[in-house]
Amino acid sequence: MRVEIQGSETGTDQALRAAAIGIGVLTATALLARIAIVSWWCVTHDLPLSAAAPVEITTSILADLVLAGFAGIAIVTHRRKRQTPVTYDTVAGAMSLYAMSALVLLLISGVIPLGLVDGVPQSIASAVFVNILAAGFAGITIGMATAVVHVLLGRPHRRTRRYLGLQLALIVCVWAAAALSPVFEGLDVVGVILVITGALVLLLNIRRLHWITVLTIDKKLRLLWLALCAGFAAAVLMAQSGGSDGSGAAQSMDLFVRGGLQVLAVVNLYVLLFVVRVFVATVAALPNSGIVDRRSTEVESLSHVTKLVAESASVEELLTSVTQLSQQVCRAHGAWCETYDVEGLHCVAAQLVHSAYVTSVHNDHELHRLILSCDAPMLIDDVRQRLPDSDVARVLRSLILVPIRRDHRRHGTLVIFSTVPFGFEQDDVRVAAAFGDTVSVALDQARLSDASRERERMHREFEMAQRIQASLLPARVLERPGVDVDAVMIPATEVGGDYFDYITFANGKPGVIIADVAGKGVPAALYMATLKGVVLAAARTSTGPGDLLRRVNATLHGSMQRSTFITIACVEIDIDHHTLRLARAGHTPAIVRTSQGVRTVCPSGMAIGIVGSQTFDEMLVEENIPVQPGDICLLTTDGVTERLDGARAEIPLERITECIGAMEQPAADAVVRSVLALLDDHANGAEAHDDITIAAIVVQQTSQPTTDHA
Amino acid sequence: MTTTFTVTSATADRRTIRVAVAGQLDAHTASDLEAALHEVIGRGDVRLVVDFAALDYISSAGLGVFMVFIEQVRAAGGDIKLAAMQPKVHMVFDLLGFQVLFEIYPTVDEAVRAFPEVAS
Repeated sequence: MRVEIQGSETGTDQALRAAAIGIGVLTATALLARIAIVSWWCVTHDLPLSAAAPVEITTSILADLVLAGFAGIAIVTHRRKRQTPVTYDTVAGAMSLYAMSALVLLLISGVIPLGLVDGVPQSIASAVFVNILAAGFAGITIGMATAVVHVLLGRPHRRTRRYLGLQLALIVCVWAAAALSPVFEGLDVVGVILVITGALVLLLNIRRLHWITVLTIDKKLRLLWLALCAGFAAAVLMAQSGGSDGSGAAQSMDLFVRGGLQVLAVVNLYVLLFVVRVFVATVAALPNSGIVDRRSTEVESLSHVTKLVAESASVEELLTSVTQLSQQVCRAHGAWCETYDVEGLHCVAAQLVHSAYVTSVHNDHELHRLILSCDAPMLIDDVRQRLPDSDVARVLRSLILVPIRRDHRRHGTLVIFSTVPFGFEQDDVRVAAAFGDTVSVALDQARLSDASRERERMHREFEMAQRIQASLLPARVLERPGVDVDAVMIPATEVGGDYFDYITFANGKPGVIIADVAGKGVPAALYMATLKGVVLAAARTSTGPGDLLRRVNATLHGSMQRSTFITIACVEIDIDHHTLRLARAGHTPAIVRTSQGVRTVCPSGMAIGIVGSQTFDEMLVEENIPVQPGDICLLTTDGVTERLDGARAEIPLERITECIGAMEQPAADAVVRSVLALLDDHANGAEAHDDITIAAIVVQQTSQPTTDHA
Repeated sequence: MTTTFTVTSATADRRTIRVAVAGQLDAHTASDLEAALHEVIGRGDVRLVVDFAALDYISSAGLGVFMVFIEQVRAAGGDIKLAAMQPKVHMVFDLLGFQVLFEIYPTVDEAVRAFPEVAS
C-alpha cells in the first residue's frame, strides 16, 4: 500500500516534469524552425527582408511561444485528467466550447479589418491583432484536438495509443509536406494521401462510444445539437485555413504559421470526423432511448421506494409515493391505491384522479369485481373490449392491476390506468408488480415494527401504572396501642387489582381494609384507584365495616362494568371492647387464631358491584370476633389461597392455619413473613398468577393490664 | 404454563342450550367463554344451562362473564342456569354471593327441568 502511494506521487511528479520538458523542447524547436522558415519565405517571395524583418521576427517569436504554450497546456491537461472517466459532460463541454469560440473568432475576423496588404501587416497594431486572432484559431483547434485525444484515451482499446502516435506522425509529415511543397514538386499529392490515411486511422481509432447508448433521451438530443454546432464550426475553420480565398481568418493564420495553416486545416478535418462519428453514434442510439430511460427510471424509483421503506415512513406515505412513482414510470394518465378492511374500501392515494372517482369506479359492478378478483399483476389492454357495457370503461381504456398483500392476505390494489387503449407495455406491468411486491414486504415489516413499538409503549405504561399503584398503598404503618398490624402486596402482572389500606371510622376506631378487583392489569388497577377514593371518603362517616361496605356498594354499583366486581373484607379494631368487627363483601374468608384454635370467619355478604343496595344490604352481615392479646386475624386475597405450585395444585388452607396456629408471641410482620415463606415453599419457583396481599392483625397487651407479666 | 379451557354447546331438552365448560376458567380463558356465549345468545337462544361438571377452577374474571349476559338474557325471557359444579367451584360462587344472582342446580337435568315448558 505504502509503495503504491509513493509510486503514484512519483508518477505525478514525473508527469509534471515531462510536461515541463515537453513545453520547453516544443517551444525551442518551434522557435528555431519558425525563424528559419520565415527567413526562407521572405527570400523566396522576393520581399525586402529588411523592411518586414522587425514585424516578422516579433510575430513569429510570439506565434511560436503561443503554439508551444498550447501544446504544453494540452499535455499537462491530458495528464491531469487521465484518471477522470470520459462522460457526456467531457464531450459536450469540449464541443460547446469549441463551437462557441470558433464562431466568435470567425465573427471578429470577418467584421474588423486586419490591415494587411498582400498578406503583410502594415502596422504593429495590425500584426498584433492578426497574431492574436491566429493564436485564437490555433488554440481552439489544439484544445479540441486534445479533448478528442482525451476521449480516445479515456476508454482505450488495445491499439489506441499506437494509432494516436501514427496519426501524430502523419500530421507532422503533412506539415513538412506543406512547408516543403513550394520547393519540391508532387508533394501536394503526397500531402493529400497522408491526410486521407490519417482520417482512416482516426476512424479506426474512434470506438468505444457505448456510453452514448445509455444516455437519457434529453442528453442524446443535446449531444446531437452540440455535434451539429461543433461540426459546423470545424467545417468552417477547415475551409478558412485550407482555402485560399484570402479571408481574414485565412490570411492571419497563413501569416502565423506557414505550412501550419494546412496542419490546422487537417486537424480541424479530423475534429469534424470525430464530431460526425459522435453524431452518427448518437443518432444510432436514439431509437433505444425509451428503453434506456425506462430502465434508469425503474432503478431510481425502486431505490426510492426501498429508501422509503428503510426510513420506515408511515404506510400511507409509502402507498402515496408508490402510486405517484407508478404513475410516472408507466406514463399513466392516473393511478390510485385502494385498501380493504372490515369497513370496506379506502382510497389511500390518488394520482391525477379524485378519490370520489375511485368510488364511482367501484360502483361499476363488473369493474369492481374485476379489480377485486385479480390475484396476480394484470394488464388489460382494452377495458372496453373486456367489459363492453361498462360506462367507466369509456374513460379507463387500459388498466394495470397489482394486488397488494399483507400477511399473505389481500390488503389492497394498485390501479394504474390510461385513457387510451393499449396504453401500457408488458414492461410496465413488470415494474408495477415490483412496486407491489416492495409494498407488500414493507407492509409486513411495518406491522412488525408497529407491534414492537406498541409492546414497548405498553411496557412503559405498565411501569408507570405500577408506580402509581404502589403510591396508592399506605406508606405508613398503623400505630395504635394494643394492636400490631402489618401488610404486604405483591402484584402478579405488572399492575394488579389488589388493594389494602388503613382507615379510621367515624367513631375514631382504626380499621384494615383489603380488596380484590376481579381481573388483572390496567382496568383492575384503575378500579383499585377508584375504590381507594370511595373508601377514604366513606370511612370518615361510616359507623363500622358493614356500613362502609354498604356505602361503597351504593356508590360503585351501576358505575362499574357488568363483568367486573370487587370483593372486600373490612375489619374494625375495637381494642377497648376486645373485639374485631368483620364485614365481608364476597371476599376470601378471614383466618382467625384465638385461644380456641384457628378458624375461618366468613359472614354473609355479596361482592361489590353485582347487585343494588337493597339485595346487598340484606345479604351483608357483620361478625364480631372476641379477641385476647396474642390472637391473630389474617386477611388475604384469593391470590394467597389459590397460590399454585408447579403442578397447579393450590396451597391447602390447612397449611396456613397450621402455620399461624404454631406461632408463639408473634409480631404482625413475622406473621406476614411466615405466610409468604409458606407460599414460596409451596410454589417452589412457579410463577404467581394473581396478586398476593396479606394483612395480619395481632392483638397485643395494652398498658391497661389484664394480666401481669406472663 | 398454559391453562386449558374448552367450551362446547349443544341443544338440549325444552329448547335449552347446554353449554359445557371444562378445564380452567380464568382471566386468560374468560374471553373464550364470552365469545361462545355471545355467539349462542346472538343466535337468539336465551335458555342456557351451563354444565360445570368438567370445570376444575374458576377465577373472579371467569365469574364476570356470566354477569355480562345475565341481564340481557333475562330481559329476553330466558335465563342462565348453572349446574353440576364441583364443590370447589361452588364455593367460589358461594363466597361471592353469586347464588343470589344465579340458580345453581346439582345436575344438568334438574337445571333443564327448571325451565318452563314451551308450547311446541
